[in-house]
Amino acid sequence: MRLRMLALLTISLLLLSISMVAAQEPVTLRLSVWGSLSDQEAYQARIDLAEQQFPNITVELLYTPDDYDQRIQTMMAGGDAPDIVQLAEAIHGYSSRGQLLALDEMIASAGLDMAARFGTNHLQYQYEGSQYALPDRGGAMIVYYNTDMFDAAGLEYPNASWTWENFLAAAQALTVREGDAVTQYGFAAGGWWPWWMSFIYQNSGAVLDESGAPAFNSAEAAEALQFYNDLVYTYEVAPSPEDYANLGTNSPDPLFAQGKVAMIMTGFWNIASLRDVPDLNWDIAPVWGNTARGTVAFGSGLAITSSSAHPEEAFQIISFLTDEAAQTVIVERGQDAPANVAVLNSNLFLSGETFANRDIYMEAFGESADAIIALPLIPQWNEMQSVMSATLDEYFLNAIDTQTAVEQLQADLEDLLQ
Amino acid sequence: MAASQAGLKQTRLITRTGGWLNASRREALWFYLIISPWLVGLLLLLAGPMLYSIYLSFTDWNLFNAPEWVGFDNYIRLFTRDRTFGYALGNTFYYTFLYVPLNIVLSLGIAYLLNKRLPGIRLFRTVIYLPYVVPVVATTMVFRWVFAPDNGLLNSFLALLGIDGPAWLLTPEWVKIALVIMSLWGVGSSVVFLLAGMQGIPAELYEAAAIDGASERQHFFGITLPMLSPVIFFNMIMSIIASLQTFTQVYILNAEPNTPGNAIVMIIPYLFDNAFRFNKMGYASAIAWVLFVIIFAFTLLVIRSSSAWVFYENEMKR
Repeated sequence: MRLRMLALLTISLLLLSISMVAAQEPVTLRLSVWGSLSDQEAYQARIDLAEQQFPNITVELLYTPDDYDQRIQTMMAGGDAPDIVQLAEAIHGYSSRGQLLALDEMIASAGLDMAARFGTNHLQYQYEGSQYALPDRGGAMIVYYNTDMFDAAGLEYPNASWTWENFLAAAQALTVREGDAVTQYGFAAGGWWPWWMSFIYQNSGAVLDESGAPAFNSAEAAEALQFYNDLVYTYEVAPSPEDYANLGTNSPDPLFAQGKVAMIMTGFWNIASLRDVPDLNWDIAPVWGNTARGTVAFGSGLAITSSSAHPEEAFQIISFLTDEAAQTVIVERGQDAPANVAVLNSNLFLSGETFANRDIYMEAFGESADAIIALPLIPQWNEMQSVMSATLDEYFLNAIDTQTAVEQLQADLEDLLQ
Repeated sequence: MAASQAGLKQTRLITRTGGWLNASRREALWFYLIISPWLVGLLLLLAGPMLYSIYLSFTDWNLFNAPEWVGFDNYIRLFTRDRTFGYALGNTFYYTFLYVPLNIVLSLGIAYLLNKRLPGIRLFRTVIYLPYVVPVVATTMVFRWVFAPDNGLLNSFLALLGIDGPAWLLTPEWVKIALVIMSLWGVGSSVVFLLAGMQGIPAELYEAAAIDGASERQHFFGITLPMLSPVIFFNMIMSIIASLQTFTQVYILNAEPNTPGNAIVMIIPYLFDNAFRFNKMGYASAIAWVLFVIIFAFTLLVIRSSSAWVFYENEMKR
């Protein structure tokens, strides 16, 4: 009897030691991201931190600047998927095809409090009740405005209480004409979805309603699109596609940097672009609203592919990367707004000292938090974008009227979603 | 060892000419042996996937889950409900019908001029061919400036003539014309074939015609054109197929935020979007087969018509 006990003990000890060795066995994970070279450096710095924390895990960074989705899909189809992938709006194409691991069990067993760490940011990465990614980066689209132009026109600066009325009045006052030619635009936007979509939500409209059905045929959506197009063709305070082509660009950001535009809407990244522009005085503010508030959060999450051979280790890594220490690196390097709420509210982020060489209103990001719209992140996101831009391209060229545009959008989306 | 054995076998085969492996059979064997890499490649890499894509075109397949049989649904949807495919078909035909004839006429004219014996003509020949060597991606980027609304090269030129040019790439009615102009810039590839054909026309024909007092015009229409008709025929088929498969220019222009998408979408870019952006492989396969039938029909039509207008030197006129 005693002998048997001893034998059992020995065996279980042996097994335990084997399993401990197994846990410490070196694991190599591959993490795939997109972005600029400075994004790549920021990810590498955070990975270095993670590797210090978990000495047995090596993380290999796969950096893909262009055609990211195509590369990931090709890798997945070829059975060579990375363990961890950065994903954004296209995520539910992957989760609906079962290509991502549902993280719920690992979140529960790790005792990770999602709301405490991410606020509401993680909700967009849920599909059919399961969490498919941890939010990593994120920040609302905000207004950048040229303070010199506002001062010259004697206007108050934009703030969270602004409505379309304030916005339009300011844009009109800030538009400078010489004869027929506009030399300074009050506002500049275009066909990119975050811009027009924000206006729809600011007017209490939506792209998809609560039941997931297309909602372009609402009065709110039509009114918002009309107002958005009127900024270009009626009030003439914003450049048309043709004006852009004549100005030699297709984006408002360079026009703002050149001092040709008073207000633009864009993301955190523009701080780094504007920081070193000489003689440009600017600040940031939350985006205006109308009957509601609405802005788009730009962000990305980290997901684990369902084919990963080391899901536990992969979760340790993404959990670490979204925790305070690794998220602080994002702020230190001025890469983006972090998804971690504690870091978002840290003095380091609010002071802006690591990424802006001036005192700017960093509270704009916090004040935008409750205006962030729940994006219609359906599995067919890419196709929906394509369908919508086909109609809106013509609408923003003023080639079709609002009624035709919204009817066409409604019909096309209904057809897509059925 | 193996080599000497093979050598032995070969000599034995050669000596036994009366056996099953006579000279012609041996030749056939060698033929299949030598061609087999291509044959295997054709079967595995081309015929296999082609047949599979016929099957896929009757399924709903997102690349990752198992294909789901849907019968003719993809084809029915293409022709009854898919507005974008309608635009793609229309735009592709519009482009092809405009581009192919212009390409033939223009390349013939240029080849005729380049065939003149003038000092420095080689330089002109090179210059005409150069655009074809430039990657389409680069051409497209450059032409965005050429087609800029107010101060673009083309509209600045038109302004000299007192014409107020349109916003080429931003107007649904003009964007396809702009594409045709852009493609005609690469006319050099057709010119090279025609030029080679022209230089192959025997000088005796022109001498004989000159003795008979034929004019320059008669030379061209009576000798050059008929003698070139096989080359024109070749150019025509190639440019029809290439136009029906236009991809790069459209893909790049459509990546621009303000390009009117419906006015420029064509069959292959739409196929690409469905396959690789929307993950609808089954639907994309159906588009591929529709395009195959279209290309096949056009090619057949041109080949059938060729007996009426293509003249081969050593053939009696039927």
